[in-house]
Amino acid sequence: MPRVLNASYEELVVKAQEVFWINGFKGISVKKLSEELNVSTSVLYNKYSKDLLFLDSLDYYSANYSDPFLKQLRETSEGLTSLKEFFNSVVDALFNKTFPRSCLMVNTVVELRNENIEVTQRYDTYLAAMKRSYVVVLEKCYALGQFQKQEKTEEYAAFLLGVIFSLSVLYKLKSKEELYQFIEEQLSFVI
Amino acid sequence: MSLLERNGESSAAFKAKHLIAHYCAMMTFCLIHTDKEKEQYIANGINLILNNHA
Repeated sequence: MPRVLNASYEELVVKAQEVFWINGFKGISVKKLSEELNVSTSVLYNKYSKDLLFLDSLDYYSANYSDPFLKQLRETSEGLTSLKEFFNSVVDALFNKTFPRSCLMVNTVVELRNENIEVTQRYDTYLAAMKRSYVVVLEKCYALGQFQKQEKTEEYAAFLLGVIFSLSVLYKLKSKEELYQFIEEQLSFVI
Repeated sequence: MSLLERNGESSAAFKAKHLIAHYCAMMTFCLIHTDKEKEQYIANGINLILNNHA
């Protein structure tokens, strides 16, 4: 007896996002995904495709993880201290499994690269929001006198984009304390 | 010699550590960028690591 769809689409996306975060996109078959979501495979073949669920999972991730994190960062007022606290909170999320397996967007970059234009558009939005947030905080750093060369703001923001990617690799090898130290040292390059 | 050390770590070792981290970042971050963007990000990072730290 095939299982019928009991959950709303939004509920499916929330569950699918967790499944993709752990397994990646290619690491899970439609059959396995249907089991994880507790729906019939026909639902995924005929109604909501794996591709659609994946794209909506990325949007859910942005809306519920990265966007609130970045909004909080933009609203801070302590400049470099705020940046440090932001990166430290990313480390905490990686270690306490708020982020169950690295960062979903970083994982997707590594796994799918530029294979799908709709996924690529989501990277662009994600990275632009992240860079814009760094620029906002760096402008506050400048106003606080924490660095002198205002014309370097874009350069520094581009450098900081790499920090999340470094952390997503290094947390598998280093302790939390080593990563806190690493963040402090990375920030020393922009002052 | 002490001027070149940070917590017992030489300046060269310190910068080498961050160049490795930069390598890790670029091996992931740059997968989705054009060659020109890759060159810019790589050069920008190397420049900051080598020149912006006493």
